[in-house]
Amino acid sequence: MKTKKILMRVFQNAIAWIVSLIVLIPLVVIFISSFKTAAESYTLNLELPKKLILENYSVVIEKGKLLGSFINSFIYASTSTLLIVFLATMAAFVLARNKSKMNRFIYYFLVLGIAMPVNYISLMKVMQFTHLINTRIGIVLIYAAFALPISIFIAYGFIDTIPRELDEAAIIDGCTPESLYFKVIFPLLKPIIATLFVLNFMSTWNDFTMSIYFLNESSKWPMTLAVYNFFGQFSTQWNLVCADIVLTCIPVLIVFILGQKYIVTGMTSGSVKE
Amino acid sequence: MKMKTILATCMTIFLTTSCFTGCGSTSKSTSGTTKKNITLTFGSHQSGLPTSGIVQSIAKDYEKETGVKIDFQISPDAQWRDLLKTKISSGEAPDIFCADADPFSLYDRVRPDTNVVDLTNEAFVKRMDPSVLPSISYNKKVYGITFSGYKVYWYYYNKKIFKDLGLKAPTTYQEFKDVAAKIKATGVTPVYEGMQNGWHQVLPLFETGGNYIQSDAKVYDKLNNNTENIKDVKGLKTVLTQLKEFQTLGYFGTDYMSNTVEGAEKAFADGKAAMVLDGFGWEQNLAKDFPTTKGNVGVFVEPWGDNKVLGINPASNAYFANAKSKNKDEAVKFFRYLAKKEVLQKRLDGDPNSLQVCWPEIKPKYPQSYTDYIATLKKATVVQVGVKYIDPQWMDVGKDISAMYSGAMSPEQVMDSISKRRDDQAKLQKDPSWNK
Amino acid sequence: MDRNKTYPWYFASGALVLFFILCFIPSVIGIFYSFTDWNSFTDKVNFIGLDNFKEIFVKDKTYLTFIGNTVYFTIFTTAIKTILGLVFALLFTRGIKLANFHRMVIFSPQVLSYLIVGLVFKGILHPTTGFLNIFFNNVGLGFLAHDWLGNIHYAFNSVMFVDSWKGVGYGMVIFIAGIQGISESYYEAADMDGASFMQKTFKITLPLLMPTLIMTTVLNVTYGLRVFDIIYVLTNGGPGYATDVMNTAVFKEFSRGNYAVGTALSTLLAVFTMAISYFILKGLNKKEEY
Repeated sequence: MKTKKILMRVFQNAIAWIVSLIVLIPLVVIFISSFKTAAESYTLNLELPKKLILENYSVVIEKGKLLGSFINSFIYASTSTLLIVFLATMAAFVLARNKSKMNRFIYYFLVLGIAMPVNYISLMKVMQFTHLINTRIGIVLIYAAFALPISIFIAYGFIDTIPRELDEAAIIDGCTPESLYFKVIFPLLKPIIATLFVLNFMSTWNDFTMSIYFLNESSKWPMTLAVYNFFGQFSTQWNLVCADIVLTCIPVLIVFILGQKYIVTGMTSGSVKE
Repeated sequence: MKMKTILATCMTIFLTTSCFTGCGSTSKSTSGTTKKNITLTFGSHQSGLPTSGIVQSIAKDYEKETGVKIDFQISPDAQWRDLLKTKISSGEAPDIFCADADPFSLYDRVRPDTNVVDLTNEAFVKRMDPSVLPSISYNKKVYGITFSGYKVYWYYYNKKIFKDLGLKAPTTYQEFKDVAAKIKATGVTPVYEGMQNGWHQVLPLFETGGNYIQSDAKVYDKLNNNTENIKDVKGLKTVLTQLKEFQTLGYFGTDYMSNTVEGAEKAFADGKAAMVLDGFGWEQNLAKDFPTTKGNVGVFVEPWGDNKVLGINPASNAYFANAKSKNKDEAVKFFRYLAKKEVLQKRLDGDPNSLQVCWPEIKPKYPQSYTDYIATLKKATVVQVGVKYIDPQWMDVGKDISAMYSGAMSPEQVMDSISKRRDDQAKLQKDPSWNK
Repeated sequence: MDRNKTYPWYFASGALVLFFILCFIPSVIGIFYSFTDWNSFTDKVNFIGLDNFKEIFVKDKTYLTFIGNTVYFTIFTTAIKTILGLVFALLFTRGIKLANFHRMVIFSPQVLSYLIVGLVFKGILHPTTGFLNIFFNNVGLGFLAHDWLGNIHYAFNSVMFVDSWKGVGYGMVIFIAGIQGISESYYEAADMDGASFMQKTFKITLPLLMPTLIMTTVLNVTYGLRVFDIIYVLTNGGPGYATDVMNTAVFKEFSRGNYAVGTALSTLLAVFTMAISYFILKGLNKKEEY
């Protein structure tokens, strides 16, 4: 029995490493290329650079105005994600608990928004009408609006993991809806909130289309657009592009690692107390 | 407890955001009042500005001289065309925008009559090479300023390989085939082809326009007036058939589908490919990246269909001043600055990928050997600049040729496809010559 | 208890308002354009009814190929990403060393933009200078080396592989959250009864993960039907037209200035996606309703 268990463990670990390595290879290519010269980086491969060219990073930060755009990316991603998490979980909570006809309609209405085609021209007109165009608030609201369908969809599916008995107990104790939600339910949604936070932070961080359409000043642009300073018509400096990519990815990976701590809490924050 | 920290974080972030929003909106309202506070927004796509950053550095000089800042906003190529149109039609366009310009699509791209400042009477217009004016004009008015010299595509070849095999630069298709066969026998890929970018494989078809004109001097006009259908222009089908023959005989090597245009330099320098189709500046970049190739590169005109005429493409991208912007006078002043002789020279010196500018008073950077060779050649405008509804379907033709190489389409089918797309475009644009 | 009082409507109002104004209205206005002759060559827009849709279904048969490719892509990538996402989630939550590290690695491709993923894989999958074929040749598996993106028989599979590589992390993260929602007490009871790992997985984990499975399937399906970036960047629909899907066709129509047909295509796609999602949700949720 014991040897079987050990073999299983070893087997699992081996598979884990093989899979990770397969996934890692392209990432390693990017990382290595960020230290090469332009000529070396033309064909993206796993050859090690002849010399570690650290200047690539300083060139990229300076030419790409990365300091300013990093702050922008951070503001947009964190603000819109916080907004999304609040609105989506609140909405999903009432829609999942109270499955009236009206609420079912609202749920499908919101969730089918995942498939809605984005039309930039009409969106531009709406943004101008609401005077949100070329404002940071406007961009944040757009990101939130478009992420709501998926987030509500995900949150809705998890509300049922929290037993209704808790709600009933809290109501009997005299809770208002707000305190029921914030004091009882919200803490139990931690894994979901962390998951939504990570996924939304990442997709907002990586977006650039909304910014080029709705922000008219490059001082308001996020990090994702800096890379286009290094692409040209006749020559692309892959080494600089890769350095820029590495810098752009690090914040999201940090968010992911932090988020993991909340997601995988090992069920001690269990819901039903016997 | 944790709730409070989350709420607190939210508050802080909302406050910071609104503070930035405040900052953002006030700066917009103060620009334009005093000369020192003006920022001109300059929108472009990646390919619109030289990667060396010379235009940005010229802009910094301008800022030192006049106090006027230029804010460069560079967007991805794929989105730029639609983005620009959306911004122009909704009034959100930047003060200056860069757009690809050719004689047929200016109206479609930027609606110059209502959105672009008319530059016809500017002093610098007369100093530009007259052949570029059709690309930046609409209804006989000049709307843009452009700098790139005309483009050509010709074959660069490895002199040493040719010398070792006793080969001469080919001038006819048969000679081209023979040269390729001999090179292939030594295990070297005769002609490098990079199809990943999607546009390179189309060059032989349309850059050899001069050859079609040799057979019929009025062919461009006929195609534009719809008195001749493009699939009946024999020369085009010949080139396609020859391309297919080359591919079948293995003269493009085995990796042409996955190769990129950028990979040609290494393949050439490593001696893996003997001939590369590319434009002005390729040889100079090659020498910079791979110094061992210096002096080992020769050129010859594309011999597809026995072509001997050098295809010239005068169109490239141009800068336009937004007529609806309150800074339009400042934008035009910036153009005048860019047109100054010393600034033009600085631009040419600072862009390793350009060998010339379309301002005849500035001497080109290319070697005397080019000048001598070009002097011996007849020149003609390439098809995509002389014939309507070709340039917009360039990438589609690239896909058709890719289908042709993989056996999914025949040369006839490619010609039919090109013709159909021309008809569709013409009808979409309600072209009167197509209402028969 | 009064449900409407405990779960007040205004909790959902924030989301509704934001969604309605910034997402729903612009999209609906956009859909109206499908019934016009809107194009980039004139500013006049005329209503032409269903002509655009007639053109798509009747006049031009190539559109049907795109629809076929899209469906094929969706089915395969959904299967791969959902199943692998689940497998990885299971693999990396129960007592593996460095589980956190492995999870981060699997998730990292999500963090990269499509642009760089396309560029890097074009480099890796290159027939001669690419890592994959060089690796195969070096370990004696040379017969496995192919022109991954250039050969019409392999291109589509290569594209689906790259998309799965990038996308599996998303589903994995959701499955992990789902697995965390399963109470330990079930497993403890099963352990007391002497259940094996396989039995625990199939009798406890999978059934309780049903909602998450459905959710991930719907997410992958809606992504697959609307895929664009990864294809555009890897092959742009090539070689030839072998990997073209609905959204690359939409982009092409926009490139030609034929905005109306492009919008009609994307409307069709949206309706199709919504219908499929609705049926999956309704059909499978019926089992869950009490």
